[in-house]
Amino acid sequence: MATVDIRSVRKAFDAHEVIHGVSVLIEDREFVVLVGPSGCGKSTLLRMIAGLEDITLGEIAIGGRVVNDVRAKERDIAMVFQNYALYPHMSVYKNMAFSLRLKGMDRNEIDERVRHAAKILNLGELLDRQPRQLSGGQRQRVAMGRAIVRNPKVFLFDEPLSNLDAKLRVQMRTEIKDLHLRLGATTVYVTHDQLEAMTMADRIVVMSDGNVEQIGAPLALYDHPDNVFVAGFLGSPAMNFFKGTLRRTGGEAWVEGADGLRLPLAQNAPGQEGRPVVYGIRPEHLKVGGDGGFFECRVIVVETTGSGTQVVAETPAGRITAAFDGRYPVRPGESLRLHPQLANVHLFDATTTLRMRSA
Amino acid sequence: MRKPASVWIFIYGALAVMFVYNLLPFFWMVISSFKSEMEATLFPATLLPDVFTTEAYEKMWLQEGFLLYFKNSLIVSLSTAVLSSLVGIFAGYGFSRFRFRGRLTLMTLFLATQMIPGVLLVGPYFKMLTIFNMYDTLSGLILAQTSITLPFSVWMIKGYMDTVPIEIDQAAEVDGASRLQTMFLCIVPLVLPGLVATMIFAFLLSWGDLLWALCLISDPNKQTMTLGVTQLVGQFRVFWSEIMAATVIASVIPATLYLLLQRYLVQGFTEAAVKE
Repeated sequence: MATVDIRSVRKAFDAHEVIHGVSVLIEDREFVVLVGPSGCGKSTLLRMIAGLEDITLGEIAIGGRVVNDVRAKERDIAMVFQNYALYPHMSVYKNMAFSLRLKGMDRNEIDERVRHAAKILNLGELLDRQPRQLSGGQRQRVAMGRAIVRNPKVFLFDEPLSNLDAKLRVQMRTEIKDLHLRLGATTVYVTHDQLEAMTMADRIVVMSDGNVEQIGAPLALYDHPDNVFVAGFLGSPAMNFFKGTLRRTGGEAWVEGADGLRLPLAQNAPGQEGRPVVYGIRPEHLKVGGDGGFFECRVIVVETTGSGTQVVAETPAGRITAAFDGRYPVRPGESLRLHPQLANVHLFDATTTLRMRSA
Repeated sequence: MRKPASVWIFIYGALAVMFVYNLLPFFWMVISSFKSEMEATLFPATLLPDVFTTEAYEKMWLQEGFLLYFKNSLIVSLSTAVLSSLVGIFAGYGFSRFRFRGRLTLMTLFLATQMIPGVLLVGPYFKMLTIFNMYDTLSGLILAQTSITLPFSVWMIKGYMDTVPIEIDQAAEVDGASRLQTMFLCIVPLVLPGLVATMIFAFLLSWGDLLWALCLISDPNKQTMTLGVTQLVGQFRVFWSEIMAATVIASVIPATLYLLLQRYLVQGFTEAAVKE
């Protein structure tokens, strides 16, 4: 197993730079998820680790060896592609055995490895099938099997679940995670789905526009996002944002939003009077009832999921989403007072969009 | 939605016209080949032979050396088909998978060569083959015909390879395959139907060729089928029934090919449209 060290890596296609100096150190046995909206460069970065794209500037080292000039097949990595990229004309067995046969491995050892991987992935009975005879989830498992048999230093996953339906995606998510725990291989996983990132990663690398926005453990990123982008990207339903100006009078602090909306803050909130800020509050941190400041709003839409209730409401400064556990008896058109839990309010600088920290 | 009867009448009427239009010459060819020499030139012509005879066939095969012509045609056409497909695989893969400077220009040039009438190229080819001592050889003829079928083969094969997702190549690369291994172990098997379609096309082009054989072959022992047929057209008389007998035999090969490989052909043509 191995570390993956990405040092100030840049990538340009002709004159157009798409990755602007990214550095990430992925530890041995770690499960790191690269997440971001489409076009943010996460797949390109993964493909540079794989050796499918050249590195324009900077270095990538796998297991301590710089691999910039090492070809994909000599990097000792395995990759699972979004469309699985199974060889359609080969049986499941041959798909999994392909790389081993190219290596000229002994027939018995190939057989042993393929059957071992098939057992891990529950593919035992499908070994003679052709890929077209398999369901999406089974194809996905074959693609992983093809990676496992090689016993590589690093596993790379490129949006492996996005072609599956929602239910299967959740199931495969668990399987991949379970597989990682059992094999303990260093894994780099690319997805645009923040939920996948949150649930699977040891650490998440949030990217946008070819830059790393923040790196950290899922909950650390969720609770302490470095900037508005990360705050808005992680979490579903997404965090509510209001632009405004920081106000302090006496012992009190609040943010004055558009239309004079008064957004309550904790006393110890950072920042000086008059500073333009972005006020962020997650939907689950809004409560009905209690004391302190509140949002006076009118309910527009109520969405019930069975286990929870989401309420979209209109405030003078724009829409706000609140999420409640269980069922909440409220109907569109009714008015509502939403109290933000002050400890969970996020304040960002309006110009830099960076998180404001207490001095 | 049900179509009214008038529409059906029109559809079947049109199909019937096309059917007759396409098959009448073929019918005439087969019928005439079984007529005697006299009857074949009779006016007004007989729709069915008065006397059914295989005389023309016997004469052609036993006296005129058509067996040899047939063999020559087979050698030339098969070699042309195999050669242009083999080169086509390499060129098609390159055009399909690599983005290099001048790629589009080169591909357009390839296609543009198809617009030059063969007649204009015969002269230079004659000259070149003479220089390389390949005039009047089957291999010379094969080379010349391959150069005609190649651009077409390259374009077709490139088209089929374009339908194979690039991830297959990348998966193979990560799996440790070299380019050649990727090409022959992973890509070619997937475009096999298309490859067969391409080979059939090259084969048929070569099989039906007269111009190149006429200009590049003079040895009677190296003549192809088409060349043989022309010799049946004499200065004073035309051996119609023999010509027909020769063409019937000549059509058997392409017809058989179509029948045997039509599954591949249709699959090859629709492959691009239907993605799994």
